[in-house]
Amino acid sequence: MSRPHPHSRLSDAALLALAADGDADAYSEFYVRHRGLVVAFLRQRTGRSDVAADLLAETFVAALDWLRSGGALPASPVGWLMTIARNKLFGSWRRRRVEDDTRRRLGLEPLILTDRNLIEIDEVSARTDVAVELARHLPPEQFAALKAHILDERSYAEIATELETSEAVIRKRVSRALGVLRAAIGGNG
Amino acid sequence: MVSFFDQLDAQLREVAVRAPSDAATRPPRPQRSVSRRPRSARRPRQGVLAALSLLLVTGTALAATGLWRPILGEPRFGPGPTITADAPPPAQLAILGVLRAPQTPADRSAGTRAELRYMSAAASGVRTNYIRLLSDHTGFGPAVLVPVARIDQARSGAPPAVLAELPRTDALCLLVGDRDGEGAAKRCFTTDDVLDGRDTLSLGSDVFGLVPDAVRSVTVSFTGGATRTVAPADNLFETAQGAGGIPVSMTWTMAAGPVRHFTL
Repeated sequence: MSRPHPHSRLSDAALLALAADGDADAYSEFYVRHRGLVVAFLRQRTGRSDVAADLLAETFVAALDWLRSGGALPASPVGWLMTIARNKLFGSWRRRRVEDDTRRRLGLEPLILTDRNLIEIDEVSARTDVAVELARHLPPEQFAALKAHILDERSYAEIATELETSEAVIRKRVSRALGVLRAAIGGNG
Repeated sequence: MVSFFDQLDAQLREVAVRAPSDAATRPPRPQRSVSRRPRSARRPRQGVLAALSLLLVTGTALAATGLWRPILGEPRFGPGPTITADAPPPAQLAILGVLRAPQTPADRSAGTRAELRYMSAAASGVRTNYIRLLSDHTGFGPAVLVPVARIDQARSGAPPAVLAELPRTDALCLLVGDRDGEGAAKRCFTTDDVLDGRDTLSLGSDVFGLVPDAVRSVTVSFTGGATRTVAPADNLFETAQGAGGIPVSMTWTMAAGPVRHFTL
């Protein structure tokens, strides 16, 4: 069973079936394929890159947790993934904190989020049209149903401004910290 | 700069390979815990009655683990083959020890599932609990045996010459993946095809075939006079084609001594 699989050519459903049985490459391919869509949706809804990054991580970890623990394989992988993202967003708004329950339970190390990472997330979000991506991945009837739930909802941006990122993400303001340090010591670089 | 996306990718990979019991509190899918005696303990052919008694034991074991529901066919091309919990007919269980042995986790592995993508929607009633990984170390990809209750010839899309040889019921489909995972050789046989040596397929320079339990060795003769003799394992044999030759005949040496000769 050591023969490598052409994951990039597999359907989402096939990738999730493999991931359910512990194929890390399969889930990685699924993640790479759809992370732009998810983070763009979260960035759009929250208006904050750090919150979007936090919820992106929780969404993909929760989805994987579901698969690895015997949850049913979804009939519509992208619709399922976006529903998880939306629920994580809604749950965060309701609880007034970014959800990180799954990552806490699994004991995952905090992820590091630098200012450059925030720019990276902004760039990925800016070049991803959520509606177009969803329409590309979903049949028309599923797109219509999901659009009503996901795209037509009001923005959570005003609420998200109250949210702090979870302890599962450490925001490191490297560039700003360096700037402060330089100013303090009076150096030029 | 370490990308946030890459950090998360690494973390997801870590979670993906954890044991399911570590990954969550929900119980794992029961069918993953299927285990089987080593196939080296294959039982000799003892007739239909023996097979039927084994069927009862096997059926009970599988009932406890549920019906396996892998993805069959390529979802992008529409609905795949249907599945069934039915067992293969007694005659197939009687001649193929690999079907009598319980299904193992290896039979449901990623290698097997990758080959199942090549099952056609013309198949209906795939006996998923009897799918067997015959070999994961062929000269190509995994070799997988897929018993199927029915094949709808009208949906098969096969050319007339192939259609005439296609079983309609109780087919035994042999799939061998290509080296790059980008395709597979597949042929489906009847029980009589297996008994009469009409069940070989070629992939690249290799010849593969199913053989009944009682076959101890298989000798394939190629044009030019070259011969290759191999011992089957798990009812499968594989032999490399002779230089420049094509297979012309096959001889089975039975465990009891006599030989059977077939023209390919």
